[in-house]
Amino acid sequence: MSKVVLVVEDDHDIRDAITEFLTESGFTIRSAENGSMALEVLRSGFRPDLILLDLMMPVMDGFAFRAEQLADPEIAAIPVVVMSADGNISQKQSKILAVDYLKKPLDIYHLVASLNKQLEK
Amino acid sequence: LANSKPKKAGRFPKPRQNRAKPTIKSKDKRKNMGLLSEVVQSIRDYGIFMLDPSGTILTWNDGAKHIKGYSEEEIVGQNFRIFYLPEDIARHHPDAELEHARKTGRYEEEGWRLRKDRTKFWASVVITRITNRRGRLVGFAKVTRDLTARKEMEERLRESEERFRLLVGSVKDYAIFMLDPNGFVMNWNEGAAQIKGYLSEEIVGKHFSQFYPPEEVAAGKCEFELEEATRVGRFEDEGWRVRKDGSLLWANVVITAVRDAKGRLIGFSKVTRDLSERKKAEDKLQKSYAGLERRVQERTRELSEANEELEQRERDLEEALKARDEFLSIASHELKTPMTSLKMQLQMLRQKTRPERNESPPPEKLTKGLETSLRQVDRLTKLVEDLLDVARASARKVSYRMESVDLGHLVRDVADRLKDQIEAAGCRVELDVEEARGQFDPFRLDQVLENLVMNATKYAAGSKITLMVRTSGQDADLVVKDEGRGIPPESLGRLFERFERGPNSQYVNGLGLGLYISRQIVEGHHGSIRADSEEGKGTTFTIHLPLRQPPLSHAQVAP
Repeated sequence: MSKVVLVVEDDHDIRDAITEFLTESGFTIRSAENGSMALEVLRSGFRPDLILLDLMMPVMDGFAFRAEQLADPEIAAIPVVVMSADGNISQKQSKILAVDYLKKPLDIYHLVASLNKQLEK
Repeated sequence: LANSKPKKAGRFPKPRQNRAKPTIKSKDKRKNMGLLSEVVQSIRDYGIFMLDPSGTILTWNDGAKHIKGYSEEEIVGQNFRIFYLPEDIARHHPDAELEHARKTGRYEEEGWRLRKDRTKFWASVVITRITNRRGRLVGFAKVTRDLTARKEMEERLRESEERFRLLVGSVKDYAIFMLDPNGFVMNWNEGAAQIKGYLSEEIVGKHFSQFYPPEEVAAGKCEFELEEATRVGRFEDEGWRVRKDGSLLWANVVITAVRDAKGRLIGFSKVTRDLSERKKAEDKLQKSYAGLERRVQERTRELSEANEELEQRERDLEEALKARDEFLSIASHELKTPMTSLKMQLQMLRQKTRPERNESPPPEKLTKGLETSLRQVDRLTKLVEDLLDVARASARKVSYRMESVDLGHLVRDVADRLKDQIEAAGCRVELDVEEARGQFDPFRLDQVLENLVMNATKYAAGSKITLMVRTSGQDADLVVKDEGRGIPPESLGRLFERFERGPNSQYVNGLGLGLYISRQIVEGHHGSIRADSEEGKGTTFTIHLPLRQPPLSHAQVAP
């Protein structure tokens, strides 16, 4: 059974590319264009195996999303892999509590490797 | 009496009896007289004796003996001149006394007399004429008192007063003078003359209100002062007084009521001290205090203004830094978003054009074009990251997230991740690592290590790359060693400067910021980085790191 990943990314092109690539790589993908929409999806009962989360997004950014997610026991346990264009993420990492951290620009091979690694656990 | 023999030794009562015979008839009276002569005889404080008209001593009592030292036997029959000083005798003073008493009935004086031992004593003398019933002179009664003690006391008093007068008179620093009960000046001393400018003859008899400014006189100050002095005995004041020439002086004034033995007010002593100099000094001091205080206030205001300005500048700076940080974050995001998209598309295209996924192999041009595009995207990515890192480093915004990291593990990870690039450069990696667990920022050290390894693949293509981790005590060394061409000595010193690049840079991508950023990161870990190189033999980069970071400080957050 293929693993289900929720991709939260505001950039349309990146979101599409990730979706296309991960789908081809055998994942089941659902996407949301910001934290708020991702929460909506999750609260409607959707339970992905992993969330691939961008940090800088309009409406609700990755940090706010994580805060909401962790505060909600129903969805708090879903692991999150963060992807960010911010090179200076070290100090932010502690706040976000991600299982992995990917720097943009994403390397698709790294992306798949990371997801497989996290989902195998 | 006059008939009595001069040399006859006799008691006082005898002459009295002689004299009493014709005058006293009653037996009682005679008896009383006898009693009286007993009393006279025994009086010790007064010398009482009788003289005949020529001054010959007829009688003598205990007092006379006590005062003059002669016994009755020695003195009766002698002339009373024996008691006088030679100079008085020379001017016939004793005769003059008797003559005066003979004429007026009485002579009285105080003067020096001589005792038997020829010492002087101060005597009060009263000589009384004695006549018989017919008015004929029969002699004199002489009463002498020894007032030497009083005289000496008076003399001492006089001398003391004189000394005091001289003393007061010569005091120059204080005006000391007396006022009568109404405030009129009675005397004047040298100090008063100096301080107030009046000579004694100009001021004695004048009212002391002359020394006061007119407005104070009008306000009743003078009366008030005398009233106070009268009431409580003393009045002290400091204030302005007027000199003879109209100038003012600042004076300390003490007025004391002077009373006689019976408590009657006989005047006031007034002591005035000129404190003008002191007042001047005080005023000057006060002025300088005021000046000082004003300056302190001004300075405080300036400082507080400067401080506000500084605070404002600091706020501006903070805002500027915040804006810069925000800009960097946004720039990073905005630049990397299209690059991410581009890279993914290119990677996906390349994947799709792989021969194994297609029936007919794609044109070589397409494959090659995709590879080049991907390389250029990576190059662009590196440039952007370096630029942002440097911008952060200059903005002191590089932050570190220290956690427990094993450097050996980190080295293995990097080597593993970069395997493809290392192989592509014809290099091979040799690992010689031991566990070195410490507090580090893994992302940042990863970046440094990657940078050094990638440098080696560029500058030492085809050579062996040795990665080493060694611990020693509280420190660890992380070594990246290649066996390439090496770095010429002239370049070694500048290696970690900004925009410095190796001599073979025509092959190398980037802005030459890698080592600069690496140094910033290592120093952010309180470590050091150095390069040793020998041309033709290779280069060794050694990163020296403390395993424990000092307690959190600014240095950790902003290297």
